[in-house]
Formats: sequence, structure tokens, C-alpha cells
Amino acid sequence: MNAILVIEDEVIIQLFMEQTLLRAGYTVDCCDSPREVLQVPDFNRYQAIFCDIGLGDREMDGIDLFMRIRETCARPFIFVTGSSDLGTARRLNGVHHPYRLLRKPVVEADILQALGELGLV
Amino acid sequence: MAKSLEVPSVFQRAEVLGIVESLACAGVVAALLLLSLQLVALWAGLRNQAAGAAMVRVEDVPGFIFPARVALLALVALSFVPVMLALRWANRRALRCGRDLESVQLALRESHHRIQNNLQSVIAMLELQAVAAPGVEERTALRVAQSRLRAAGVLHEHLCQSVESGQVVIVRHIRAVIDAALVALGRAADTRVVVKLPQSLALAPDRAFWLGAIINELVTNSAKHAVHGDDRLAIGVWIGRDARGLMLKYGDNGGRPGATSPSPKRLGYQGNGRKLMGAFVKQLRGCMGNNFNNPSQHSVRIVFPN
Repeated sequence: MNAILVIEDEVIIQLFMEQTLLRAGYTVDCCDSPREVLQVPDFNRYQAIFCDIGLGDREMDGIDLFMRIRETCARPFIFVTGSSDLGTARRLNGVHHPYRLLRKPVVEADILQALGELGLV
Repeated sequence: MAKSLEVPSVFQRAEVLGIVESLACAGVVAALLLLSLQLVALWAGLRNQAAGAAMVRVEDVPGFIFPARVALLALVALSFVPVMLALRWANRRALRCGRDLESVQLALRESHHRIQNNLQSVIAMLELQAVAAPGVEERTALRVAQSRLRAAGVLHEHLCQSVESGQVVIVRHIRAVIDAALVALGRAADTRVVVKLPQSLALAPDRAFWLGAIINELVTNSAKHAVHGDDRLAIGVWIGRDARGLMLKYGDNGGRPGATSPSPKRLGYQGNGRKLMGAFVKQLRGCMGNNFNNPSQHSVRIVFPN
């Protein structure tokens, strides 16, 4: 089990994350919308889930998606956001689930560091 | 320094004004009610007494207090009216101001979000190009460009957070820039960082931006050229008051003991690094001390107005 799920709606950024993780030795699956994520049969086959918060979906952002699937997913989430809004961090307060919050823009080293902090490298 | 203006405080002010306005309204209503009661009593008394007496004095009317008091009540009621109108006007203005401020902050947050996303897209494109680049030098150049963009993102984040106060707290700002640069260059774990500057030191956002850009260049140069292999990097940043304003001193452990000539790749000798530093220092309206000539020690000194 060396797989990571990347949830990102912007193709270039998704490609960048995929390439970075592939180079680090992971296999990568990508989703670009919450709807697609909800069709994933088993989240626990991934070591971690990278999830953009602003997914371009009016009804569900990355945190809503996380709240919806965390019952069936024991794997850590790494949220990526371009927003510095404190509300984002507040919504994650009190959530008893391993997660990290990365602020965009991120480079390869940030991604690897987040995985390292979760003990996954 | 720009005055802090926060949406909640504006709305709180509007709430207080609303309460005072309500009290003023209640005052007007009470005074008018009392006035009406007095007039009703006067009218009823005059009517009753008119049947039995030829001459009626208003003071003798039952339930009627005194004509002077009636006038006073009327005056009080009238004096409340302009106060009430002024309060209503101030309240509406405060509410409108709060709404405007709220929409400006929303727009700022949105534009900040877009800027960070766009920087991320550019970094992604540079990385995809770096992977395909044929030579080590090209790849390195593309990754240094990514690290500069990331530093710009960190600087932008700090500047956005300081919009409300109008000043950037430098100690936090510099720490964030150094950390971001070291993470981007893969030196976060093996670098010792010492930052010494007054906790209270704050600068306007535009000046803080250029100071951050200078620190990013210096840290990038140290991480790339100061030490080699497994040697541990150590960097120190010091800012203090100077007769001409502020002085930034930066140093690393990249000196070469016993060397007779400085390393050509250290900042300040040649290339783009020198040009960039010169431009950043110029933006800060400062001057850079020329103390690169000691090959066994690398330090930079920049003086800039406060």
C-alpha cells in the first residue's frame, strides 16, 4: 500500500502534485470534483489524501467533503488552500482526525515535509 | 500608521447608536404622551367647570399640573427630535460603513486567494518544465525560481494579514520568510537559525515586502553556496536601530577559513544575485555595506531608513 489520493480541481496543480508524489515513490490517483471522490470505493487503500479546499463546487468544498467521508476513512488528510481566511482553520478545530493544512503556493519540499510530519516518508 | 478599522467594531458601534436612538425615541414618545394627557386634562377640566363657573383659571383645573410644566414638556419632546434624527443618521452611516468594509474585505480575501492559486499554477508549470529540463543547471534555475515565487506567496500572505493594522510585525515576517526559503531549498532540518531583532519592530507593508525579498535572497544564497555536503548551515539575522534608521546584519557560516579569495558564487560578487539584491535594496531606499571582501567570513550589512 503506497498510494495517495489527490483531490484537486485545477489540472496543472493536480499534475504537479501527481508528478511530485510519483517521483517520491508513491502511486497516485487523482479526482477533480467531490462527486468523483464520493465514487471512490475504499479510501483506506490510500496512505494519505491530499485535498484542495476550494474545489470549485458550490455545494461542497474540501472540508465538507472531508466531513462527509471521514467516517469511512481512517487515513490522514492533507488540506491545501490558497486562502488565509481564519474561518478555514476554525472549521477544522476540534476535528479528531489526523490532518495537515498547507498554504498555497507549495513546492515539492512542502509536500514531502507534510508527509514526513505524518510519518509517511 | 493607518487606523485600524474592523467590521465587528463598526457594527458594534452601530448597535450602540441604535440603542441610544431607541432611548431617544422612547423619550420623545413619553414626553408627547405626558403632554397629550395634560392637554386632555385641561380640556376636560375647562369643559366641566365652564358649566358652573364664569371665570376659570387653568391652575384650578383638576389633573392639570401647571402651564409652565406643559411648556417644559413640549420643549423636552421637541429637543429629543433633532437628537433622534442625528442618531438615526449616524447609525445608518455606521451600518453602511460596516457593509462597505465587509465587502472590501471579502474582495481582498478573494483576490488574495486568486493570487496564491495563480502563484501555485506558475510553480506547477515551472516544476513540470524542470522535470523535463535536460541539464542540472536548468533544473536548478527553475527550482530557484519556484522558491522565489513561494517566498513571494509567503510575503503576500503576511501583507494581507497586516492590512487591518497597516503595519507588519517584522520578527514574525522574517521568521516566516526564512522558514519558507529553507523548506523550499530542502535545508529546513539541518539549518540553525538565529534571529535577533526588537519584538515591537513593525514596518509598512511595502517596506516589509522588500525586506522579506532581501532576506529570501540571502537565505537562498546561503543554502546554495555556504556549506557543502553534510555540513550544517547556520545563519543569523540581526536588525537594530542605527543613526540613519535601521541596520540589517546577515551572516552565515559559509566562510572558508584560510582562503585567500572569496567564493565567486557568494552573493555580491557577480551574476543575477547581485543585480537582484541591488534592486531590492534600492526599493528599500537603503544602502548595502561592501564587506564581502573577507573570504573567511560571509556577512552582509544593509542600512535603510525606518
